[in-house]
Formats: sequence, structure tokens, C-alpha cells
Amino acid sequence: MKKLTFCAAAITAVLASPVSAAPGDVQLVGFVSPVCEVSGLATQLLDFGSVDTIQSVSIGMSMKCNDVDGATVKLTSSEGGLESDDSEDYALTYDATFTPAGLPALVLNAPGGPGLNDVSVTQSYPGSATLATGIAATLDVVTTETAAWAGGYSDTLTVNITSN
Amino acid sequence: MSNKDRFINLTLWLLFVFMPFHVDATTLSMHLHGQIDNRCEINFNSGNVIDLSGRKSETLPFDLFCNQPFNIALSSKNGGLKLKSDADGHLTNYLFEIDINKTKTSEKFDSQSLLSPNSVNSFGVIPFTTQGEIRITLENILLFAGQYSDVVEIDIYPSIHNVTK
Repeated sequence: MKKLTFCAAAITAVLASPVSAAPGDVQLVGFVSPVCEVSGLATQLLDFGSVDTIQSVSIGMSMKCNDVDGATVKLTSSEGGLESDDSEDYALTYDATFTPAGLPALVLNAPGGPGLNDVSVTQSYPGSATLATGIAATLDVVTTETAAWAGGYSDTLTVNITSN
Repeated sequence: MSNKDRFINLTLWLLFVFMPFHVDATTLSMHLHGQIDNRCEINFNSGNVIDLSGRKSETLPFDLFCNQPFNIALSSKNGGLKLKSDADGHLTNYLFEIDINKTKTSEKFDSQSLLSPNSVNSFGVIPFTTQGEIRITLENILLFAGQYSDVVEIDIYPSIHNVTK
């Protein structure tokens, strides 16, 4: 009986020892390329027509940024308003509103008048699955001042998006 | 020669012939001994990296050898694919499945449950040589930009708990 007990203990000790353990790791990896863009502009020219009355234009686009921290959108008016071709630095005021679906709108109030260039506003949006896969957005521009003088009026409005 | 002489001669001849083979031992015993060491191992012949870039599911075949019933201990370092660039440690969960042909083992684990060790048993079957497969299925496809990683540690060892299926 003592021998049997001893043998059983010995076998248990052999089997319990991690002699033949063969540790191995499996590495799981993945990579996603960064994408941060505003796209879908059908045209780069927004024509208000005659600006001796209040005018508005609207254009659809899309926005996408797959940074986990989200994105910052910046609206910039190069001339600070619709600048007269004939009277340098004289500009009409307008409001530009960038509205991503389901997210807060970003409003730029172009101050017009003389002098101000590169007027901008920014808005940060948190990272989300919808922003990472892409969402629709609209850009609405409304003139808030009428022109008294004849001639052409223009501005360059830039929508810039960067990852946070 | 008398019968008595013949008997004496025969006896002496027999003693002479068989004298070298005479052994005093009253018992004969033989001790036979053999030993085969325990050996259990998993080999990933196509590498041990599973790349889930741009895909939701991927498999990794392996060869398994074990001359004992075995246990496989599984554990995950992160409990999901961790985005390296995110300080908050954004995780993408996955389903870990392991199939072993000869033992008919088929188990699946959520990546979160692998934060603590889980085990797979051969149910008393000694497979010797067999094949298996690991399958990773993401809960959601990798979405945010950056590099993701996790490490699943796999230890195979002879089982002392041979549960019969």
C-alpha cells in the first residue's frame, strides 16, 4: 500500500510539473491610415448674382476624420468679406455657416469694411464613429450687406480640417 | 559392465555436461524499464502574427503535438486590440476562437474575458499529431487611424485533469 501511494504521488508530481510547457504568443496587429478631409464640393465657385440685394447660396459637402481625438474645422475668409474689385479693401459683410450633420454649426461673420484679411473661426469636434466614417455637411453663405457701388465683389472662403 | 556401472557412468557424464550451466539461484527476475518524456507544443508554421488591417476576421493555422492529454491556457494582454496613439486606450473587442481537429475541441472567448486566463481541455484525448486553427473576428472593423495591437499568450501543457468527454 505504501508503494502504491508513493507511485501515485510520483506520477502526479511528474504530470503536474510544467516540464513540457511550450509557451507561445500570437500577435494581433492592425493599421488604419489617417483620413481627415472635407470633400464633395460640386463647384468651387459660389455665385451670389447681383449683390445690391441680400443673397444666399448653399452647397452640400461631406466631412470625414478618423482620428480618435476628433478634428478641428477652421473657416477662413481671405478678404474679411466680399471685396470690391474697384475699391481695394472695401468689402461687404456676409455670414458663412458650416453645419456637419448632427454636430454644432460653425459660423463665420465676415466683418466687411476696409482692412481685415484672413478672418477665421474654429470649432473642435470630438472623435466619433460617425465622424470617422464620414458625415454630410452644408455650407450656407448669406450676404448681410448690400453693395452701393457697381463692380465685382469676391472672396475666398477656405474650409480647413485637421486631426486633433 | 553391470547396470550399476552404467548408471554411475551416465550420472557422471550428465554432471560433467551440465556442470557449467548450473546456477545456485532459486529465482530469476528481469527488470524492464522504458520512458518517454512528456512533449506538448504548438507550431505556427505561417508565423505568429494575425494582421487585421482592413478586415474583420482572420485565421491562423497551427500544428499541435502532445503525447499526453493537455490543457491550453489562454490570456490576452489588452483584452482587445488597443490603439497605440490613444492615451485613453481605445479598445476594439474581438472574438477568439480555437479549433483542434483530433480532439474535436472548439472553444470561443470574448477578448475581455481573456484578461484573466482561460483554458481549453483535450477531454482526455491524446492527440499526438494534429492540426488546429485560431480565428479572430473583430466586433467592429478597425475605425480610427493608427496602429492596433494585442498579444494572446498560449501555453500548452500536459493535463492532470483528464475529463472524459
